[in-house]
Amino acid sequence: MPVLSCYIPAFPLALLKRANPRLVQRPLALVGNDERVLVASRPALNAGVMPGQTARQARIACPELLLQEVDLMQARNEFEALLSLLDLYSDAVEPAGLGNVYLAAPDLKVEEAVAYCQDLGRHIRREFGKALQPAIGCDRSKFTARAAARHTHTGTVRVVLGEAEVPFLRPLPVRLLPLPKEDLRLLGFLGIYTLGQYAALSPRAVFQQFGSRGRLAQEWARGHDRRPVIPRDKRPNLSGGLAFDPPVETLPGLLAAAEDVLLQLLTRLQERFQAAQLLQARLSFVFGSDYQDVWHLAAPTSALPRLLALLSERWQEQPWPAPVSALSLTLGEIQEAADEQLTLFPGAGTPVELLGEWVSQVRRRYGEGRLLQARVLHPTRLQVEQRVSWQEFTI
Amino acid sequence: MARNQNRHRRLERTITHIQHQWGTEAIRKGSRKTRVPPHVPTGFAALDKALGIGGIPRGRITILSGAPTSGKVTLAARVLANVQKRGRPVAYVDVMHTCDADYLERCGVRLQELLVVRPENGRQALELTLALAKRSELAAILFDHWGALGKSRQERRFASGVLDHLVGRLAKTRALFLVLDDPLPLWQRLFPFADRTLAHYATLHLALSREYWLLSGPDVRGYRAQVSILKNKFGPAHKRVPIEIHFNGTVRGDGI
Repeated sequence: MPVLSCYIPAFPLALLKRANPRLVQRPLALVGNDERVLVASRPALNAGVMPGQTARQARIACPELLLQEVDLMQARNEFEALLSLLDLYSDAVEPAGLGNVYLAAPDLKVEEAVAYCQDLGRHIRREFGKALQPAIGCDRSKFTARAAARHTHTGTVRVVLGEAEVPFLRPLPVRLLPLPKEDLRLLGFLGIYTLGQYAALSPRAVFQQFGSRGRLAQEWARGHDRRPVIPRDKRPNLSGGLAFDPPVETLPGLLAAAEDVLLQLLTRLQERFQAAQLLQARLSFVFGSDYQDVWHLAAPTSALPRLLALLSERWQEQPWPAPVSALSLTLGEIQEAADEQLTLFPGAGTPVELLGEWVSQVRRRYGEGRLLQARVLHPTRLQVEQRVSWQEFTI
Repeated sequence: MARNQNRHRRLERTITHIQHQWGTEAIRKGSRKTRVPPHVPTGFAALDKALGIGGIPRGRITILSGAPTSGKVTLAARVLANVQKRGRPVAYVDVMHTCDADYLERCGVRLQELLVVRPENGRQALELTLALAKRSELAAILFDHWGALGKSRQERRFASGVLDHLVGRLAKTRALFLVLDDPLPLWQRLFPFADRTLAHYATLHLALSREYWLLSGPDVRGYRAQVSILKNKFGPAHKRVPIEIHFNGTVRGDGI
């Protein structure tokens, strides 16, 4: 059964531009709750603004930058409306991050599939306006459909069905695969730059070098992606927890326990190239009371530091009535991680990463605390010591 | 005529041989065209113009000397920020353990790509600097500051040896090397036997001094500093350029 990938790049930004068309030519960036840039327009990217930068860094890089806080509520509502529209076309509609959706299409020939996709695209344009018109890719597998959607312009359709699949995938960059940075760097060193080159490697050698994840990615590169389209109401959750005896009284102890639990859950996600968009944390206190927090993330993630930072920030602010006796964490809205990996794709082997080996050598010779990295956590505090936190330089 | 041609051919062959053995930079034919060496703009247009080549030369040692609050860290931070625009990391050798990361960020330095080295003592600082200079991934190294190193004869000799090696390594990696230093005291300027090792190895020496505070009512909103070019191997020396540094969250000022 064919799969359609319906992709609207920079969805929250497109919404903003639809509301105010004058902003199209301006350098524009949207920041999340953590005051980091989520998406930036093309003029802003050209001026040096990068997703992940703090608002202050972005403003320094581009003084004319128009920074706006992302309206996640509106973006989610619009996205829900888009999903409702797509429900008319298919029983299985799977969201994969804001602005990216998979649909299980009926069994069609190539010509019929083109007409079907065009009809879908026109319908979305009619309902949501030209600023939100999607790029649509179609194939038997999810990965190829997604690659097709990424390699066509918005407002156009790319149907890759049947024999065209392998020739289509062959010249595409290997970076499209959501492999870890180290694996991509290694592939770069080995001179493997395209999906075709990666697909042609011996499966045994790939398994030996990159493990089961590498093997799975190779199957995708060969056009064999057997993942079904999972309707959004049937997406699974992942949970884990710990009971403390004796109860935990300090934040570092609780965070260390949370890190252990999250690490187990995220490893399972990462092995399947998946990410979660919802995090739920539940603390049970010794006198029987409970405290629960839920985070809906702007983009799906499988990054441990990001989730830990959320927990740490909330638990620092929250007064504890008593020592914590149990902790339970749940990851929800699990979806494929490809969206995040593709948009914020790191360059293989950036200069900072190449320093890794040298940094560990220096650390072995001179001990800890010699090579550091700074982070400005509280820029409004008066004393420098309180504004900045120092940590070991990590790659 | 033929004799001249033979001489010319022999000379060409010798030059090719030397360049083959020691690199293309080892010997060059004289030319009327001036070659602009690789450099990084300081972010202050007037200063870039006064330096002759448009900025601070890469692969060379540059000294920024001045009293506290003369603008040397600000100037260095602006240069580091400009270096980082090319997407390469930079290193900060913090001998005094006084690096203000927040201020660096306000000057435009991306902290994710800033490696701060905090050595235990002067000797370790020099060793680590030498190790950093080997790394071609680093686009710039800021040494803060030279005056914090020991003054004993042994330590000076070690520093001199390090500088000797450093010059060669920087020429290979083309990394920008900035050294912050105290202003030269008057007695040292008068006596020729005083220790001038660093100044000897440097290609560019900029001395900064604060002129006056910029006030806005009762508030200090910045200061005006004077940059004197004491030594410049790529352009005219003994020029003075005023720059303005504002405390309005970001550091601005194009030189007046």
